Amino acid sequence: MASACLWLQGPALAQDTGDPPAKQQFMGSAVCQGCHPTVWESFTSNPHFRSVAMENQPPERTGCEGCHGPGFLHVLNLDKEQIVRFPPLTPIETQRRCLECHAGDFGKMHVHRSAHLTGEVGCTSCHSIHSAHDDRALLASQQRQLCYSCHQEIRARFDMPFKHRVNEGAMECTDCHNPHGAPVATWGGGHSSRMVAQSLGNDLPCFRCHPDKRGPFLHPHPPVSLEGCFSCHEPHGSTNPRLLNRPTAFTLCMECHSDIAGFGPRAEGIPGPTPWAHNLSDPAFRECLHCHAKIHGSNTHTLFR
Amino acid sequence: MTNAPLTAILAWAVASVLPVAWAQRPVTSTAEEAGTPRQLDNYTVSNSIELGYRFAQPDGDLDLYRASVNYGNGMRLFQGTLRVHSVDGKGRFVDEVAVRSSGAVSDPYQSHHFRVAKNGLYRYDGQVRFMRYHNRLASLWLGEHGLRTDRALHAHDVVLRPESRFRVLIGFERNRRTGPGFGSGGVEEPFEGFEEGSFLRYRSDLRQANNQYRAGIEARLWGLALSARQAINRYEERGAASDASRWPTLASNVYPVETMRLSIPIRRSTPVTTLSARTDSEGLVGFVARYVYAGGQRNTMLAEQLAVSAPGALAADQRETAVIGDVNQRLSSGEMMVVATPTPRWTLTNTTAFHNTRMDGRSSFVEIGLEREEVLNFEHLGVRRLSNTSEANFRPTRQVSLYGAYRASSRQVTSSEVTRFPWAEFSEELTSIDNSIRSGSTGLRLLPGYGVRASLDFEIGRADRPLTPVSERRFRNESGRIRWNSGGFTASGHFRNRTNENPTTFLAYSGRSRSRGVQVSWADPASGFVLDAGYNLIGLDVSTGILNLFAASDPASERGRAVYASRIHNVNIALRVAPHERVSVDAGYALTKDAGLAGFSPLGAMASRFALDGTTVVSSLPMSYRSPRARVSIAIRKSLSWNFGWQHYGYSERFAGDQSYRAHVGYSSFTFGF
Repeated sequence: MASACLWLQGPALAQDTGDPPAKQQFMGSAVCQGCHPTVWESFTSNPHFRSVAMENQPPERTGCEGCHGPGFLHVLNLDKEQIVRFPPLTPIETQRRCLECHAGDFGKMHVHRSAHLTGEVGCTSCHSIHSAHDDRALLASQQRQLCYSCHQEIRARFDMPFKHRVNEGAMECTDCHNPHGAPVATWGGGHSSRMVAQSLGNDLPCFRCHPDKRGPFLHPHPPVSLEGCFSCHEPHGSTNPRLLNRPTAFTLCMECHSDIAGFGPRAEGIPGPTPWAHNLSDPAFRECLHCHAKIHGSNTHTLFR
Repeated sequence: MTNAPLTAILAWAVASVLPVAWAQRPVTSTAEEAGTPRQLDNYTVSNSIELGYRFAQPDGDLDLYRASVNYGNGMRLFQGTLRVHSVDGKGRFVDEVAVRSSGAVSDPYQSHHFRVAKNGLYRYDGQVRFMRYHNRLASLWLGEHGLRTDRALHAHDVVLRPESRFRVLIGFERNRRTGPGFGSGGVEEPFEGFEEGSFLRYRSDLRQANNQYRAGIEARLWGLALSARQAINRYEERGAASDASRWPTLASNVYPVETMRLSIPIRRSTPVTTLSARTDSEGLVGFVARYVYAGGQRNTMLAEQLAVSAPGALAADQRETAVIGDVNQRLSSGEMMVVATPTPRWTLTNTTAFHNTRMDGRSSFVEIGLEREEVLNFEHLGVRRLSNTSEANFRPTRQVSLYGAYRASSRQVTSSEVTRFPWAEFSEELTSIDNSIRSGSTGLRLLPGYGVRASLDFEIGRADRPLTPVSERRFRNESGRIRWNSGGFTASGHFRNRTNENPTTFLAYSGRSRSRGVQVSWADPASGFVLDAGYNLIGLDVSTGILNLFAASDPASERGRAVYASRIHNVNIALRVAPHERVSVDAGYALTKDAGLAGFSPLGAMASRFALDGTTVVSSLPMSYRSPRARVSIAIRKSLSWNFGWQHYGYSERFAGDQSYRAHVGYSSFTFGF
């Protein structure tokens, strides 16, 4: 059947168009339907189908051949080796094909420094073009299940009693992460968190939903902007209330406010902020947040009251 | 085109606003849908709705249950999907309509996603989410558990001419939160009823709203993808408290508070400009450049009226406090990444980035009690960072890939603070601290075929002049993953170790975290059988030296140590079987158990949250959290099935007052399509 189509259409294309020979090797998606009717049937609800419907895209960016390359020889010889097939491709080869169209996408700007790409995790590890679970992003499965399939530790975190509500459906991993790579982190040394999306373009992702913690405050708690929320919180899930890294706040506070010389301002000879009068033997001093209630930053008091 | 698809959309919309509660099912999600795609004129339509009743029977510490689970009783529409596509992509006004909802109306966690698009003309994406939870706040003595926080998040984006070379983007985002918050008013001077340096901690009912308006253009010109976006964020917070009956009574507040009125309005405006350019195709050499500037100003005010009465006094003493301030913040950051692919085997990238934060604020604190006091504050914080990262990926064969990277960053932090009291001025001179971090990493990836994928990574780094004892100084990260997939069978495992040591002359900070995990899954689509099981161990050991935090007559004994340890075991099992063509059964079990320090230290055995032993503070939180679940689904007709689900939540913690709870949460629902 395909050969018949080719016999009917191929020569006509070659004669009617004045395109260079390379372009004449494109057959158009209508030819593909003949042998792949079920693939075509589901393709009409695929975002890539727009390239066919629009009828204004060049053949190398249209329909089946937009991804699988020119099909002339494949149809002529009925040889699956003479068309681009994705399963045998390496992740980097797959990525290069996808980026031929998607390189300019704003959200994929940092794909080359993405931990997925440098880890040889290609596009088709998460996306399924022909049997997607989700029409919007063509994900192969439910988003969190895809992420959990590799990030088992994170899955365990979301099983904990205190967590962001990802399993409950109220949040998605992409609320905080960009799986295609993120800009250089503006907190810490900028070394880690290559997949953490940033709110407002250059801020911690947490501030998108927690804008009250962003400030600016007249009296900011410097670690928030210097090291990030992760200094005190485990963002995915924790056995400790309020996603804290420790079960009680004062043990967490003490690790920095330990009165040891040699760090931060104290290295410059400036006294540390924790007065010796905070005697931990007195229970009153074991609830730091009772006094320093505005711990992320205060507009009224230098000691975060 | 007929009205049939619109009728379906309308019917679905009507169904979604029925006076029933939507809810997403407990974690036992099978993501199954009823209904098959139907052809309606030029459109393909499919939909599925799960409607039912959820019951919850919590027992034990209800406050903690509401803080971590929070499911309640009621009718729900558990899940809904609607998909409409034009067959030929040439609908008159609409080519695509998609709605995806879970847990609506009365479930505590709800999300709704929408898409409406016309090829070549526009695309609208929207999401609306609601969350309700009860905070497990720092203490128990104000009844904070009983106070609910409501959060609503909206995001709406329209792209005009989405498939063209010039695209216009317009968006709006709203984030609204109402619920309890904490603040405290300081007392700078001895005051009737208060001792010097004492404070009053209050709870206020906050209303916070952040609106973002955004617009931008994207263009593809001269082989470049260019983008310019402008957004304006407006944040507003209103907090008020006037109910004295719920105040804490602290030992230092010797006289009872009679009345109190508090108002804390805050306004913030943040314009954000983003510019970017990158090469539009994969070539020998490409680049990505990006610049972001976020400016902004925040105006704050606090007005407090307080009355305390001394025993025997005829009238209450009054105090009024007002704080008026404004803060300016400027954040600018940018990066330039160059990508080179000299051969298909090599990918080289170099990224240079900078980030600059400047924050300046001033305020006046006026307190009118027995006499008028005014305190002026000025504060400055500046952070400037420059970083460079070079990365290389080399693929000698199709099965092997090597990765290497070197990262360096330099950071300068400046700060100054001035506080001017009527009788004196305290100022901290402009301080400048320089901090640099360097690290190198390497990795090996193997794709030997047969469905096997493995990776191994190692990173080592050094920092000088760390800002805090817990900051990175001598750190090392190791991680590895392996995964084997064959047909429906997948097995995977991972490990990760992170260590950071921060020694000083006398004391040291040492942190070590590690995780191990295995996961096995087997799916047979023909029989409907699915098995998924995994085990994870997440451990953390931290030891920090502390000074001068114990009252001891001997100064030498004031040198202490804080220790924290956590050993979290996580087990998850999920099973699905279809014993009959009309019946499917899902069952699962999740366990999280933290052994804490038990067995590692004599103090650890008794450490529930913390224990003090002279100069050592040991903290851990031995707990367990179990959650078995099951779901039975029986197909009554092709597009109609009945479901029954049950999930148990069991939280157990050894702490003062035994904050443990158990809850049976279940539901009965129908899944149908039309």
